[in-house]
Amino acid sequence: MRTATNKLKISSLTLFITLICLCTTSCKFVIDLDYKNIEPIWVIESEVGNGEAKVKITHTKNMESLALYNGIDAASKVIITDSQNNSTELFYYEECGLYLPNQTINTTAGETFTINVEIEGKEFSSYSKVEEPVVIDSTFFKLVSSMPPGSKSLTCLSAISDLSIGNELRYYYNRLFINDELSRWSISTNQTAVQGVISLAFPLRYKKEMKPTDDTTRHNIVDDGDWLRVEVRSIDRRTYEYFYSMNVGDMSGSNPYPNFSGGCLGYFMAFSEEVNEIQFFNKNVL
Amino acid sequence: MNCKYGMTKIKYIIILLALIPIVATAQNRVKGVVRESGGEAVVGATIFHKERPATGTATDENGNFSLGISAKKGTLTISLAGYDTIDIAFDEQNRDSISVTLTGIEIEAIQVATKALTDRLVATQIGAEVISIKELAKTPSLFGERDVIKALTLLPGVKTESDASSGFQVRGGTSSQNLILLDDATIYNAGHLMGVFSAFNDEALQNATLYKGLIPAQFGDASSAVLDVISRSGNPRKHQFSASIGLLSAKASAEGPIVGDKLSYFASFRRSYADFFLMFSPEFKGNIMNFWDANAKLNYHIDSMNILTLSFYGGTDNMGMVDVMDMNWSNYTSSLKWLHRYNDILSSQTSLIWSNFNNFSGVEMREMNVTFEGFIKHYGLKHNFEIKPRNGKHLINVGLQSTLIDLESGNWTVNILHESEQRQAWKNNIWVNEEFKPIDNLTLSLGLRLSLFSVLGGAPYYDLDSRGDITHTYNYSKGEFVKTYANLEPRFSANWRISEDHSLKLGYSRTTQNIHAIRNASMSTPIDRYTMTSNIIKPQIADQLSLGYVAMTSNRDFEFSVEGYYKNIDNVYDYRDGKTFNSAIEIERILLGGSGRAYGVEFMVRKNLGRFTGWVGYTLSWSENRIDGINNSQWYTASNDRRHDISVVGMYSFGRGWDMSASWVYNTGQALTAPSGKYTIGSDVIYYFAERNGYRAPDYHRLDVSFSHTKVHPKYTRIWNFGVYNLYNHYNPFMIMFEEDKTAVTGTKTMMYSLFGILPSVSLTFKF
Repeated sequence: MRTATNKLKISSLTLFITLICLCTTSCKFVIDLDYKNIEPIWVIESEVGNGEAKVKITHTKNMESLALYNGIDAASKVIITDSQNNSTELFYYEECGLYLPNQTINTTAGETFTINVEIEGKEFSSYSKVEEPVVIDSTFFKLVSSMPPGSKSLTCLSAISDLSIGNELRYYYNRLFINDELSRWSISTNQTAVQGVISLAFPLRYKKEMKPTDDTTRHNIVDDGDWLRVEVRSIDRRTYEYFYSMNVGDMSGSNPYPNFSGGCLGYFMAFSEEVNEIQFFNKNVL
Repeated sequence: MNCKYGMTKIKYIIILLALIPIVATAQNRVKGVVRESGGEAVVGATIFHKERPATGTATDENGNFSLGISAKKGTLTISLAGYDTIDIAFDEQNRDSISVTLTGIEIEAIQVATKALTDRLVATQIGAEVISIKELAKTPSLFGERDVIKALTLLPGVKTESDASSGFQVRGGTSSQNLILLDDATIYNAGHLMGVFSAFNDEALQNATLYKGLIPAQFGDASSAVLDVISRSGNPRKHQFSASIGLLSAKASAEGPIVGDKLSYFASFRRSYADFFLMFSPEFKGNIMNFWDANAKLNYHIDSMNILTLSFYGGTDNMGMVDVMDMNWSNYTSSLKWLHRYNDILSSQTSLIWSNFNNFSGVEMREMNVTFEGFIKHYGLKHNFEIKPRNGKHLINVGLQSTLIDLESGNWTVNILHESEQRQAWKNNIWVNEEFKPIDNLTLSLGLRLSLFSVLGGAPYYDLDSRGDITHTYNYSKGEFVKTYANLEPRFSANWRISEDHSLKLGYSRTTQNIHAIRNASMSTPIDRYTMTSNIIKPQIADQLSLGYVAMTSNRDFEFSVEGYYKNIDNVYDYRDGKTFNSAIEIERILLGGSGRAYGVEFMVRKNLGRFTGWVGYTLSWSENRIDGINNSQWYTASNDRRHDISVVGMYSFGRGWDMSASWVYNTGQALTAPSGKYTIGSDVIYYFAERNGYRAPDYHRLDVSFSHTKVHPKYTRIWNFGVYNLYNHYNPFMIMFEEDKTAVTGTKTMMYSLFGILPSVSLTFKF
């Protein structure tokens, strides 16, 4: 299938002749690549924090397989253990496709948790440390400079204070939900803090100002009255590096850092979390 | 300090130097100079004793030659592709001062070709391609510009990186493993407008030599190839001007005498003007996209024994969007060269060299202000003695070079965060290279180069653990020696003239490289991050063995050549998995080192004479890397591997000023890393990469055609050039991306991005 795109609409003939060389002939196509098939590899997504834990188990699929990634009941054992060797077993719940504990897990800052998963006789394990929580000082909406030049775009901004002591490098996993639907996630550090305050920015689109041709399936569209929730999780370096390497993986053609031993994919994140909710009204945009 | 070669090895060098035969005999010589009709020296013209064709030489960069001939009289044949061949008699009266003026044959286009076959038969250096700006074949132009680097890529074993890149890859190496010199000064990222134009304005060039096989000992610091570009000197006899206008750029040059025929000048300036038109477009008026470059050269013939030249090059690119994004990069170089002839046997060349490459990029949006910049500065002194003993059987080069390198591998700001890494090093080289004929049909070239690279203090150096975390920081004072690497680089080449029409060549060379460009993708960009050899990063060491055969028909019309090579490179660096250029300011933390190897065979068939000339080149090659920690530490296909490479070039002269040229190129698709599986993390689809570069992009091929018409008027010459790039409008791969597709049942699609379809161009040039 060929989908050549002419990106320029230039009235001047001279300009057209000049720029034809650089711009108008650029094209993009969907091509067929003869993908190689591989044996499925187990994928474990696991988190513990705020007294809760959840584990999702899936496996890789071939590139030309159907895009279904529901959690599956594959593990014979899923156990999370804290620094004091208190173990909690998690059980599979069909309705959500997740492994969940039957009890609250005490997740205090400074504690390191270990997860052990057994699938088809193979053991997989990982560990993660709970870090000190941050404080979300404020969340607000603002029009900020954007592309193309001279334009402004709607952005949700959160100001975060990290009260942890010293000049230690700190790591965060941030998420924005719109009406309980995940809009966007990001990772950040306290390296860019200005006088101890870290700024997070989530781009948004205001529904009433969208053009009929705009993509309405995007996850960052807001309307008056929508509820937005900003979650900031303090995470350890190991978890941060997993998500960082996952972010750059597509560009560099590499897989995320192994977070589990045993040869599976995925991560184990212990965290402390701070949440801030705000209702959107366009009249309040700065 | 770690010095791998101590006094014992230095003794060997001295002994080797002593063993080199510099015995002058009482044989007579014929000497002279070859110039163009405009008075400029002709470099690389071949001079043969007509009565004994096995005796020959070539002019040096001042047009001088000296040939050992015992006969009291005879005839010299002087030839150079692109010029009329001249026979000139010599006898006892004129044998010391022969002066020859060559006349060009329709020379108004950049012409690229290997030297005429006779040269190729005689030349000792295996894998050396000489590009004379006024030589032979006219190759198609792009945007009306005649591009020396684009033309180079039509030769076997040389490939372009991709569309819109001025980087070229030689014999399985990456473009970052090439050294590009302009009048002895180093040029980095030799491209404008993201590679659409090369940094070299053809109007300002005298000639260029690409060493892809054996690199003479006078050159180093490149583990793949050296491109040695010589800029043009001004005409010492009359003023000349040239102006050219094309679709995207215009250029002008002037040259002439300043003080008699002693002091002459050359100056040229080129600028793109696409941005002038962008101002009239509401959609693009905020975009910035321009470049300029300038060349200047002063030539001072002090006397018959001394010549002083001062050359300058400057070029800058600007790209961006007003108030949002800015990107620029520049090359500035200057060299002051003193050529001194002591006597008929000994001459020297002394150069003071300075170069400065810098880049900057910045983005300001969404409350973020991010900038990135870096630079590489060279301050150097080079001194080379050339010895031509009277027997005519030896040519010896002995020299040294000392360079201070100041390199900023990164300097970035993210709002208030500011980090930088700037280091210095002192590089010293000593070399000796001798070309000699032990017997009539055998010419040998033996060379040895000592490379001393001293890492200097003044910036932090580290010890790292296996994860790349810093375990210890060293703080040496400024100028203090942190570590010195010493490497001996032997060079050897032999040419066995089997008969008048056949020769066999063999070459071996070891080269080291201490400046490393680190890239996430296979293509060079103006904002690549560079670093130097340090206490952790080792010098790249390349060993190459080449074997070649050249044959020509007796009338010199057709030639055939084949060259095979095997190359091994140690200390090749790449980003660790999951790291990118800005993952850490301490660059060693994000790199892993390993080895590379490349091997292949190059074939070429040429037609040299007549109205129709051209060549067909084919290269079959392999290029692989192995780096611990990447691809399970197994050998993997390098991203610059192109298994099959074909170039077909044809040129036809219709007469009456009309010329046509066409070239067709074909490469196997670039090796690329594609996913072999997919999974989800949260709501994101993540790709699983089973192996590095395990797939191939679609093959690359295109046909370029150009016509030129030259009209010589009594007072000026006018040249029209019409070109079509990619005549059959084949979209070649520039980038392959793997994207989510909500409309597909698989949820994913493979996208190929292409840059250039069919591109017409026109340019008009006046010379007077």
